Amino acid sequence: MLTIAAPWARRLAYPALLPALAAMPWIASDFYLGFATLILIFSLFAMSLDLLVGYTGLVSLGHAAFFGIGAYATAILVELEVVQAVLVLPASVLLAALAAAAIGALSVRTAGVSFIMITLALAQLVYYVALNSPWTGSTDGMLMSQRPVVGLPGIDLEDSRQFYFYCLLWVGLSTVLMARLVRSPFGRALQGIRANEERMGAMGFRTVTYKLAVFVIAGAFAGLAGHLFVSLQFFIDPTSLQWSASGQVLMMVVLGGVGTLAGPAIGALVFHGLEDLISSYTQHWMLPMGLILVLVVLFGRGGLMGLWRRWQARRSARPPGRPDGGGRDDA
Amino acid sequence: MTPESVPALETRGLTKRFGGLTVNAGLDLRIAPGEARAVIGPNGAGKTTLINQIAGHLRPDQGEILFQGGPIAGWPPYRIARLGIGRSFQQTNLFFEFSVFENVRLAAQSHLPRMLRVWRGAGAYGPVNERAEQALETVGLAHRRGARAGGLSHGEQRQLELAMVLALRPKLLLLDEPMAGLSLEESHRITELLLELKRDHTILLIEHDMDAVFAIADRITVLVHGQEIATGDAEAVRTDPAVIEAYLGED
Ligand SMILES: Nc1ncnc2c1ncn2[C@@H]1O[C@H](COP(=O)(O)OP(=O)(O)OP(=O)(O)O)[C@@H](O)[C@H]1O
Ligand SMILES: [Mg+2]
Repeated sequence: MLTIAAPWARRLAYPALLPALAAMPWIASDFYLGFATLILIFSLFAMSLDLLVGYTGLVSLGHAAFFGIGAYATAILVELEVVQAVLVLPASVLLAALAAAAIGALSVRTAGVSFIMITLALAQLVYYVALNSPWTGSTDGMLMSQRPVVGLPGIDLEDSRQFYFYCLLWVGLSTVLMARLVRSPFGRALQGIRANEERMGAMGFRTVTYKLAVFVIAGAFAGLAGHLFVSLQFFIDPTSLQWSASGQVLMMVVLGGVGTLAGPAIGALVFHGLEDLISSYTQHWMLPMGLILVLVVLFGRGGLMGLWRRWQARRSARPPGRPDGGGRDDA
Repeated sequence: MTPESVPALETRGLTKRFGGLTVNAGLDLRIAPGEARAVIGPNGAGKTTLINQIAGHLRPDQGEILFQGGPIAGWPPYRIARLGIGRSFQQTNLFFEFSVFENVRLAAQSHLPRMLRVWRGAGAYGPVNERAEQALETVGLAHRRGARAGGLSHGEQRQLELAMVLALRPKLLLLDEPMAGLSLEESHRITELLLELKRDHTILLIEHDMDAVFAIADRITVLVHGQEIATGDAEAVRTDPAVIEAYLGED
């Protein structure tokens, strides 16, 4: 984003995060290691959606379709005894990207509510295919008998610690890629499109092509998240690509803060944490969750990241909203 | 201009209607390369509509638009911009949340040949930065490069609006009331700037400030109710009875 970054969070929090993440398999119990793996996966999923929502201004309600396609592709290939990760992973990502290219081509020319509705409708189409195709086990979903095989000596993804690192590697690489992308000329153009698409056009940017490109990129990352998800769970069913799944990942993005990469990751953590917490008291966890989301949207402009940044700004000596301090162009 | 040379911009029978209202009624304009042409006329005469059609923001109902002899009517704005036609907006149209520099840097970035540049930071492209910096210096806004565009004064926002067009390095400038709402001093500065730009640009200038128009324009077209009622140099237009009656007489 082109707003002021939290001054020391950048310098301290992120470098501290890496050793903490790397040490996780030795700190966390099996249950929490599984939870941490899930959070990593959903962080990637939510960050990929934020490329669309927060950076480009494309509010997609169909993002779970690409997650689901990545997951089903992995499950089907493993079922067909194509188990090598070097084949399964790229194939899953590629299929998700192709689906995103098709759905994007039909949707990125529209804007606002039409875009929301078209992505929703096309993703539901994918859902019905998963529900009815002979390949996907319909409502029962698919069980995966094993995880993909990396094929390097000493590496076995069936081990939950090793699988955690497999996920950490891909999520970490993806995060670095996305972080570079949003600061690159391409990413700046996306943010320009979100802010003022008419002006971008008048300056010579073919905005639909940019939107299609980022839609495909976001779909590919969602497909990667799906690949990791089904490998974690050994299971995928159509609920993972239903519109409600798209809605949930959108909630994670909004909860954490649109237009940042850290926000959606935090959103994924808080969302799943709250889900676990609340559902240990009541099975109607969606209601309190909905209320919390409404509160965050009403009072925390910019989600949890927004709250955090404003708190930071208040604490530091620099007065917030200094007339010409904002909009440093390399934030 | 020799009569047979190709005009920088030409419209033939350009017509635009909104419902029953004819806003541009068969306009035939010929603007020579290097010419500074002002289009004046009362509010609602159809001046902005003319620019919107040339820049691709509106599709003409009838007629042709030729840029350096090639037809461009109905093209999307991005293609027209890439030909070297830069437009400014009457209603300041910035990236208000971005810094001043980022506003012009984005404009300058539109010249990068490939879209999918995702690895290096946006600030790492020297020629883009230079182009942006130059545009800011030309309009006298370089000292505000770090400010948020939305926090600028009205006058500064008009300068930025112009800088974003200049950062495109266009051959033809379509300027929609660049001096609207400016103080006398600010208007003078923009007039000076346009006189300078005139040396190596073709300009189509819409402006209500008649001092500026008479200072800058080689020729002036007067538009009333979508009709061209006169075209000529400052003297001819100033003394044209139809123009005095329809427009200049107001003041
Ligand atoms: N998109 C539109 N839809 C309907 N009517 C429009 C539209 N745009 C402009 N008009 C009408 O067309 C007429 C000409 O508008 P235009 O903006 O071209 O005038 P103008 O000469 O630029 O005026 P001003 O000096 O006030 O800027 C006006 O009556 C306006 O209300
Ligand atoms: Mg106008």
